[in-house]
Amino acid sequence: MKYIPQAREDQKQLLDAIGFKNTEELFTHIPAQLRAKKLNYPPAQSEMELRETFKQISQLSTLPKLNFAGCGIYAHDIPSIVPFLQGRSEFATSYTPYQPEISQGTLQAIFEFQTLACQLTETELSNASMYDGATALAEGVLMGIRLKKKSSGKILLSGALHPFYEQTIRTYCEEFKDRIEKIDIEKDHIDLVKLEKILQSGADILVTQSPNIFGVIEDYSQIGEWIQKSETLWVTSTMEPISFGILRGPGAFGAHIVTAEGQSFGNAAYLGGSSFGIFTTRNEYLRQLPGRLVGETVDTKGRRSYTLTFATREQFIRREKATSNICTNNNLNMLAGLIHMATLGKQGLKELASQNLSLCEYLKNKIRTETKLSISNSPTFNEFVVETTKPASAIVEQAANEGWVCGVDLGRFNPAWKNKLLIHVSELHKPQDLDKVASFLKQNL
Amino acid sequence: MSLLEDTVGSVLSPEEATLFERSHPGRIGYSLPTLTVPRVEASKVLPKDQIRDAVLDFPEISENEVVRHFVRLSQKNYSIDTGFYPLGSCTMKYNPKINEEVAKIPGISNLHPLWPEKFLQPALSIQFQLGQLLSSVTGLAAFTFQPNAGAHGEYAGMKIMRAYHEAKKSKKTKVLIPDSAHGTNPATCAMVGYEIVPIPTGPSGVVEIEDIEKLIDQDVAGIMMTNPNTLGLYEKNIHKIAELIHKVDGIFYMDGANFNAIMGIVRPADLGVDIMHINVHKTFSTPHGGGGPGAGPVGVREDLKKFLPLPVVEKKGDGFIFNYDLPHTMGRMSGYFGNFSIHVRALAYMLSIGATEDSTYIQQMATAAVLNANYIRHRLRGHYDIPFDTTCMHEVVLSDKIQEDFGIKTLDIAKRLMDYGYHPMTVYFPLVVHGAMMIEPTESETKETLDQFCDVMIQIAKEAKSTPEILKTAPTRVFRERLDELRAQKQPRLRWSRA
Repeated sequence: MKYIPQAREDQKQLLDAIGFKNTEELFTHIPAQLRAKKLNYPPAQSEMELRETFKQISQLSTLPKLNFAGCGIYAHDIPSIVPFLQGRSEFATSYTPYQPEISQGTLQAIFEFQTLACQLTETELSNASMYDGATALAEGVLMGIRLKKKSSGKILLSGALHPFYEQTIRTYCEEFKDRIEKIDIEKDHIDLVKLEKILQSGADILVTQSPNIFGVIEDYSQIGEWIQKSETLWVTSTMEPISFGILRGPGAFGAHIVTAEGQSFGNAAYLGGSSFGIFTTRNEYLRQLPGRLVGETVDTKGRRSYTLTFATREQFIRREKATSNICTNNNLNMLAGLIHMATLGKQGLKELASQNLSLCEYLKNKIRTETKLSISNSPTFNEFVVETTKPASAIVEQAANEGWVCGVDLGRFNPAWKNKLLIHVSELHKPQDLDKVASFLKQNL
Repeated sequence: MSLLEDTVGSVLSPEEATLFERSHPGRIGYSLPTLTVPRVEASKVLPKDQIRDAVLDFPEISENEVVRHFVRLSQKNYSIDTGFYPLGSCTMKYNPKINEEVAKIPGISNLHPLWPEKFLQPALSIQFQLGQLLSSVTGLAAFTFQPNAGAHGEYAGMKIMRAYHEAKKSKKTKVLIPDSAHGTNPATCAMVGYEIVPIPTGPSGVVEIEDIEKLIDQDVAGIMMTNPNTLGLYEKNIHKIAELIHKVDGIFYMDGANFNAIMGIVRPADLGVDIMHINVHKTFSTPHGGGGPGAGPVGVREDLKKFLPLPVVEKKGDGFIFNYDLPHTMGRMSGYFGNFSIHVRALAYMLSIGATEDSTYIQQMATAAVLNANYIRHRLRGHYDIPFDTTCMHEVVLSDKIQEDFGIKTLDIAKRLMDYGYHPMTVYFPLVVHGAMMIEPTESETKETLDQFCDVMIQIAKEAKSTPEILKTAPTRVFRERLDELRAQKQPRLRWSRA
């Protein structure tokens, strides 16, 4: 077996050295009746066979010819340097950088990521990243609850959160479920009239998402004004971080904890995992931050160096008093995101965001002029909802029968949304692809 | 500060500026197609008070420079592919490259979580098959793939424990955890809202029945135990402890962090384990990635299936579906369906270590890992204190008791190992051993590697006596000498900024 270098002769020498006759003696403290019987297990596959097996598995479905599904996971162009650099053994096969003298590569990368995350979200402090956007948001709410200490006020959730994000919050915050209150939506965004009232009456935490489940950009300028007049902690989520290339970060409007899904930067869809979560906040909340954190320092020779720091917040030191149980995160996915951001740079991110916006507006206009279908006038970035005249599920199925994906049927989350088709547009789409969506909708509705 | 040492470095250990210092206005590292639809002015369609012109201070670097930057950073990391990485409880085994290759097949990597299921059959099939193989090595009825790491798996598992008791309306408040447990165990329990009752480590390094009998009562919701434990010892009373826990209708949770030692040797379900998480990035060879991604699938006994997180993968006709119809579910653990990219690699590994003519490679793996650890224990005996010097499993725990007499601590020994070309072992854990050094060789290493490592450890033990100063100032032969950790906290600099 190529993964086990212990040849028969090696085994004999090792056994002789420790004074054992055979390998069974290694396991004598396990009662015989509890030992595993013959495992029901398929024959071992060679490398050639594995390659064939996975080729066959990958062919159990045919990839769609065209894809307009977004809703939290977005297909974007991935520059070839991203997998090339991310795959380097020194990054991929190292452990969490607990020994800084021989882990400066990972540590400096995290330090740079923390900086970029702050720049994107317009905040002061970032951790080394979380599992994904949904768990980052849920941890954000937990951190908000800790910051509010003994208060037992309301935890307000926007009704326009991605339902999977809301469910993740409800799992993490089950202990506080009686404090959770959902704020109604007005058409396709948070109901601002109700929000103002409820903030005036007092709440511990407000959770919003922008762009939201309908692709709509929430009025953060207005919400920020109210937040500043209140005692409420504002926790935000963004599913499409490319939007930060054209929209201001929530920190600029006074959000206290800003979270985001990072997948669009450098990571393939992979059924939604693994990706990474962005988690940023204000310096004053450092002690309540979950997850790892890297800081700059010097070595004994005075050379600039990086190290994990403020670890007294973490489970391996604080145990049950830690700010979170998180240990392994999704570091290598963060690295892919970092490399993508570095190569996009200031101009590239702006151009990418501008192209996404322009292509998306092109399709919205096309549908508006060529069909009778309704699209709201609310501002969107790179995805939007078409109000369908029959269930969106039927439209999605029709396209699937033709071998492509025309969007996400929001009715899968909520029966009230059954006539909402969410369409995502990116730089990967050519104008003729967009024309196809418009003519398909025209024919089928 | 000299140009040579502080700015440039040398060929094999170059100094590397940050992305931000490398940035130069106007440099381009991207390429995007020319926009062929009319460009839309942001101010025409977006709220004016939310538009930004560009991200302030975002770097501007050419592609060649980005590549050099990250290649140089990578060269400052030690990794499994560089050399021996005996980090205890982390199972730093070889990460097969074929697993990386199959994970990159576009029909696998590009699957979108919200596509109709007819497009997702490869992914569902992979999770289904992986579940079946995990069931066969653990004896547990079903697995969820939602948890993204070991600690996330613990969280799902403890939530399932809670859901089980709540469904019975029983008000249980406490969970027993050995004092040798990983920090994630108590941290997870606290997140789930259980009171933690520590179990002392017995005189032979394992949990004793009498201690459980003293602590157990009707308020006990369950127990969390790692087997083998973090001292590298098989919990010989585990099946009896499971019986005691079951008598008060408690749940036995096994932390699978150290499963590599016993996979194929015992099936946890046969020991009385009810819930268990698997660290796919340990036992199942997926890369650690400098801190993840991992994956933490959780297996449960038959009657706990109904509490699993949403959704579960099931076979239907010729294909596979996601089943969302679980009225008793503990909820949703993360955005989508777990770290699928890691599940692919794990399946490739599991298929490669299956049955041979006379046994399975799985059993050979565990045996080789255990034999290697015992060989190290044997060779280092006398040179280092071994607090529990009996047959160990996949790892052996030493202490710095002998070296303390010369003023040398575990940290010094660990740092000196770097000078000799090794990643240190896990240090100061488990907490129950003073100055612990936890060494896990895994099955991936040759006898020559083990011998050379032991020679070095013995040499360091000699240095501790003869030239302790060398150890106290180590490392001096690697990229950085010891860091001023205190300064990192006293003068926090947690992001780059202009001087």
